[in-house]
Amino acid sequence: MEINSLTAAEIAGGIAEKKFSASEVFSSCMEAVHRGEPDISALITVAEETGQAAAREIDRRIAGGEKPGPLAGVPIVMKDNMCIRGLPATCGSRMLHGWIPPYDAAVAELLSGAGAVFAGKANMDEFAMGGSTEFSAFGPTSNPWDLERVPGGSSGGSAAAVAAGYVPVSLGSDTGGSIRQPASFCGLYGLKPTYGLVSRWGLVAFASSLDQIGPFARTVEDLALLLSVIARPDPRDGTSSRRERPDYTACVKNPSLKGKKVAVVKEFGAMSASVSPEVREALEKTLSLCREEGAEIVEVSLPVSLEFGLPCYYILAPAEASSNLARFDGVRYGLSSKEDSLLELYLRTRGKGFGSEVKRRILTGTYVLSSGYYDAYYLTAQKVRSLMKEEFRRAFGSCDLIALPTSPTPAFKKGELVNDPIQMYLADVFTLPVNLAELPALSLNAGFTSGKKPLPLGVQLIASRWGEPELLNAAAVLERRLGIAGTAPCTKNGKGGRS
Amino acid sequence: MTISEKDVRHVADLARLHVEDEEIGPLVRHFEAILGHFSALSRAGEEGRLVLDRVDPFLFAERETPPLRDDIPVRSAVGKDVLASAPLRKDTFFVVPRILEEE
Repeated sequence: MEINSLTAAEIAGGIAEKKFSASEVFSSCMEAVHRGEPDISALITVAEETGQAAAREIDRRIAGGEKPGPLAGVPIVMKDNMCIRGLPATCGSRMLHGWIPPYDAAVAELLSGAGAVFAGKANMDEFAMGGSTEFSAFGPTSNPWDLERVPGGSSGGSAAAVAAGYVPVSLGSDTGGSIRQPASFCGLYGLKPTYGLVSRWGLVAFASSLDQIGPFARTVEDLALLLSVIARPDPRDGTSSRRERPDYTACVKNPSLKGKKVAVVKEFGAMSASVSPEVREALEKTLSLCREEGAEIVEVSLPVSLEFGLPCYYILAPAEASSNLARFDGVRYGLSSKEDSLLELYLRTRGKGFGSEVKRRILTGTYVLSSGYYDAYYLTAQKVRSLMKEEFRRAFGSCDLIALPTSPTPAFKKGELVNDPIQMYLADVFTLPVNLAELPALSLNAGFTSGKKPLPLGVQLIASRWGEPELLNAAAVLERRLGIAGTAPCTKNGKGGRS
Repeated sequence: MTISEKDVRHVADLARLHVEDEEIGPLVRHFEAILGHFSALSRAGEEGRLVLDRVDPFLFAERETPPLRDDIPVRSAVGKDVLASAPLRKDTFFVVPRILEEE
């Protein structure tokens, strides 16, 4: 069995049963990385030495009779805005080029505690601002399903690493769709948890009231496994919920949609012309399957969220970003421009360190918070956000899940939208209301486009707060019917791919 | 809502962000476009499609008060790690250019 096509559960099980060792798995992972990276560029840092040492340590402990953790020996990649002590964390930016975090993020602690082995840090849009991973200071990542296309963003590297078969699972972060949209473009499951479920300690902040860390996987079982490891309370994160977490792995054992209500959104009808026909078909197919599996299809109305979510988000997220990114000033870490005055230090460091998209968002955020504009923009957007939360709460009074596309189109070509950032923003219309409402949502692969290079088509399911069990249950039912996408063929046959 | 080059330079100054002259034009155009999108909110308010008068701008589904730790002094012991990242340091200080003008 080719190790690179195994799931995280299969790898952990195989290592625990001594079918193969963590070191063998890690070597196989590194071979896949070296083969794929010249074409894909998913990773900013490859953690070959530290990973080999960690894998050897896992093997040593298992040989010594220690009970292996649930992810023992599983290689994993983390988006480069999450801290691992001793490994660089660039956030895809010149500003933090060369910075080595002196501490582990909460999710890093939990993953290594469970026995996972870090294989590398993934490429991303700079400071998580973007929808294609083309805004990285380290160059773009290619979609393993079609190397001329983007893997999505901002967690494009994390998605590509799993789709290319380097690792079975990875972590990304989602502020307005940055896990779900790359999952959709790369044929994966991607989950954005309820706000407060996963600790943000050690995640470099973009928009603190919207950011959440979540998993990418090729199977629902792996998605549930990752979530069960990372979804823990953390007193170091003041927004981390102390609520008891259910057993997520149990949700996928005997899944059923019988008696569940899956909702379509009334306002989607008027928007469907802006969605590609194949994405619409994938949504229809998913709803048919839900119906066949015993769910009732109902309708909910989300007029505020679908019409005003975009301006609301693009006021609030940049506002929070302008505050969070004020810390990058050349004084304590990162890039520092040699200047004669403190003011010039700030101005020039920030001018040189940030890319164009980050600058646009910092400036937008500063503007909407500035004197004379705060009420008209920021406060207004906050009120619209409250209306959206209320609207979703009412909708979930009559359904268990809401189904929408993840993205209006499949993966677009590199260069297509990079000079039209606002066009790229418009593609977030279905994902960002979920962050604004603090809800959980997942993207699942519902099929492929027809044609020479089939592209994955993603569908999004949204649940009410703490509704991860509903999402995992539904995804597990649909997985039985839709099958598993597997790793991308480009990496099997194309240049730089595996034989 | 029109925005001028002067407005963009002012916002850049507030954000402590140096922008090159050639960046100003594209930024003005970006602001015009994005503010156009934002105006959908005020238009909807004027047309009565969004009623925001009595809406709480900071509505949360539930509030959990962040936990307080015990009031016991603890050494954080992170000084060495923190200073290790310093672009320029002297002993336990971060070194920056002169802040105050000479008399």
